[in-house]
Amino acid sequence: MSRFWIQAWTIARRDLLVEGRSRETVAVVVPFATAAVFVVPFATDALDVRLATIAFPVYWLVGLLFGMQVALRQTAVESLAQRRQLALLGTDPVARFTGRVASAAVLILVVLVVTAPLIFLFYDPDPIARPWPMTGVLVLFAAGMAMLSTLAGDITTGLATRTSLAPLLVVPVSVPLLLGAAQSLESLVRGRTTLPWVLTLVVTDLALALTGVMTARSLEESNT
Amino acid sequence: MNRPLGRAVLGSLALVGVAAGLWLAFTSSPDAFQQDYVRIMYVHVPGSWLAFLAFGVTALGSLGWLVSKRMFFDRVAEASAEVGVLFTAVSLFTGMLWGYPVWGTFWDWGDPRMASTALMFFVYLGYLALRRAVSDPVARARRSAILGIVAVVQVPLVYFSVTLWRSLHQGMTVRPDGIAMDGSMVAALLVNISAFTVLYAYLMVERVRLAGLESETAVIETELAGRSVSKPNLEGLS
Amino acid sequence: MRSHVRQQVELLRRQLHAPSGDVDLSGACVDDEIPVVDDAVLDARTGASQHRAHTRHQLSGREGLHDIVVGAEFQTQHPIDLVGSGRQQDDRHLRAGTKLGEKIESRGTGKHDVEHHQIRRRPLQHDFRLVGVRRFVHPEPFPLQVGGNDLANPRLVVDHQDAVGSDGHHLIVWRRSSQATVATDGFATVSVRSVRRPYTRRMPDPIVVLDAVSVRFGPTPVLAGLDLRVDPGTVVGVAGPNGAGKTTLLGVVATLVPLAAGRGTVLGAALGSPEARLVRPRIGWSGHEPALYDHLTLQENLHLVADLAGLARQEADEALRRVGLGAAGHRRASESSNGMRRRVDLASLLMRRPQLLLLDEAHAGLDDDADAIIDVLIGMTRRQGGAVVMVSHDARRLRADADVVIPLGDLSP
Repeated sequence: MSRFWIQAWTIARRDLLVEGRSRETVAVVVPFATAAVFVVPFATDALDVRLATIAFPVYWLVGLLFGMQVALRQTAVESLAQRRQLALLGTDPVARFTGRVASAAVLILVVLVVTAPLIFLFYDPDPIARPWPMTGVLVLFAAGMAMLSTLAGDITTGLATRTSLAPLLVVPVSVPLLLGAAQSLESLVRGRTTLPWVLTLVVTDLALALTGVMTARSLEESNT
Repeated sequence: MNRPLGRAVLGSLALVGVAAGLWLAFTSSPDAFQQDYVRIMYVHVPGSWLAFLAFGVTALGSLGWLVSKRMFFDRVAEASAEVGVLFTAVSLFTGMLWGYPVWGTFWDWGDPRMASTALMFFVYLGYLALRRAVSDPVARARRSAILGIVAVVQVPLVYFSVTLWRSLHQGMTVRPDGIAMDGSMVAALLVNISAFTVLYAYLMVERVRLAGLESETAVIETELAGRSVSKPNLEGLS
Repeated sequence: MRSHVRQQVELLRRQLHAPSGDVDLSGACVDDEIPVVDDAVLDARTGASQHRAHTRHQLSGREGLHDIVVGAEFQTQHPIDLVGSGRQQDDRHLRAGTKLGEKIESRGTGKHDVEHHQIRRRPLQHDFRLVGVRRFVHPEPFPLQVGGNDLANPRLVVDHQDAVGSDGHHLIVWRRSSQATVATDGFATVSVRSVRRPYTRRMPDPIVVLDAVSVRFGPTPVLAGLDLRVDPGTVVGVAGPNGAGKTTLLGVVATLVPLAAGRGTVLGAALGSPEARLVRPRIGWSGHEPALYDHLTLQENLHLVADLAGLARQEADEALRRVGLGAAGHRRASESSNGMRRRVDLASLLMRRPQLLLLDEAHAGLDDDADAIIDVLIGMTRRQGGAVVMVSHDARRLRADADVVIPLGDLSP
């Protein structure tokens, strides 16, 4: 059992170490997300009222699209030789999935955290009283996007159209995550209970985790 | 059902059923409020039902392949996805056609079923795009099957979360459920649902059979890939 | 023996007599100067300890005369021979009926003598202890070496090549002394690898058997009706032009490529069965594409392999030094030459010591030094009863390394 966690931790550490060296997320995706947040208002008349209305929807959209980008980033793609090596080292495919999801979730969370203050800066929505429950929502959203995108990435490993195909697979079924996160925030702002939406996030995350565990072995067979 | 007679019978049944359904659709009593526009319901509702049925069959085919590795299940999954995307498109299109004259808008965000069906349409598109991207049949079957499993777990969550979303935001337009249906309308609806289901079954049978023939012809190539490599001919080159 | 060594011996003896299942003998070390690496796993089913184990100890690099005391404690029902390579002298036989605990010392002269001992079972089964003396002159090759051509780091392995059905665990205790320094004791455990010879009851199980195997990629057949058998201790070369399917064949043997038709067994596990993934850690692969992560350093890449394989990072560092990259470990893989990257790949194999070694055009693009590493790997694998399958388009090169070279086309009807 502990060997499983050692392997998962080693894989997660590998991904984060590679990210630390290549800085693909921090130096490329985050600026990209920042630029996107900044550019959207140019498609409106940038009147303060209109911007405040679209502030949070833009935030979640950026979180969705760029969260996918992070999980599907090029430096996280394993070559055939690397996948073969992992298989021959006896790496548990579920441990590999866990490790990759953990590192992707951390990086997605970075994107979400960096983008949030920019939304307030450029869109000027009403400030949120007591925003602390959003920490949990962000974590659940990041975890769900990490799992879903990692699954899509594994399903499309080695295919030429991967960079467009994987997002196509993710976007329609990411709606529960999007709704859960966005409606949680909206409920918090309106003073309503966030419970049903947090539960939606939790259930979706659990379902994704279960799917990931069940399909990990099959995916390894198809990818080595 | 590979015997030609069986397929012909099924095909004929489908044809008869659809014809009967159409006839009933046009002769049943019109709705008091929607008048003749209600007749679109006779195509829209079966289309919707089949969209979800086909999706379920794709999921079952995926599971079947993962468990047994028999290509038959993969062909069923593929066929159901292709037929299903067709019916989903019909359902969405007729829904939009129905919406405009009756409620003044092509798309009603207040309807969780339509929104979920549209999302399912995109899931189908993704599934078919994935299948087209993989050339090796076994790899294609495996990856599609895994996507099928992911989708069948997620789509109910999509439906549930979208319904929750609409139910918590009250005060939207009148739904199609608000139709009071008399006997002739119910009969027409049932006949159409059955007819469409038979049509689905017929299309499935033909498509699975076609896929089987395709894979048989594909294996006829027996020359080893490596044999096509021969010694280079370098005479006369300096 | 000194008392603390006796204590350690006692500890290990208790471990050795564990009831069944895996016995973990790793990490026993007495002397800091003597890193001891043990890995011996008892095969509880057959009762034969059939896994290679080795000890490594570093001599101080001092030239001169060294006494090595070799001790073994075991139970056996058959005569066993303690042999090593090198020149043999037969004039040190134990007399039959050697008493318990009797210590034999001999001080010969000059060159290394290899002690050749024969122990005969006594009428009643007893534990008995043999202590012998082995002597050699450093830096002469260490007399008991099986693997390791590195003179600076000779390896002590006892290999019961001619054992007849012997089994059991063997404790090797040694003491070394030199003219100038204080004697130090050390010990190691070695499990005897009973390599079954043709004259014994059973033929060795082949490492690889492929029976009418076919593989397709899409509609294209790549391998058709292929038969292959690889026995332990052999090196099989498969030759063929580029594009003939050699890499695919290796993929099948590595249990990674699914079969379209036919059956196969690798390391005892049937291809396509759940057991196949269990034997993967005993398989090693080296190809022209090293499995390195560009952004990590060479050392980090090797540490990654060690972590995933459950090996200590020191082993990774040791392997890196062995392949001559000890000073280059901090370089990123993307900034290293292809030759260096290949050496790291080979270092990971040195570390893992797989039982089945698969080489895909392994010599391509390597310099002579790196070629030597591959030769050592092949030798190590062969000697520990494993097997090597090499594929190459260069049949001449294959003939130099392999016991037999088969053209790929000849494997199919």
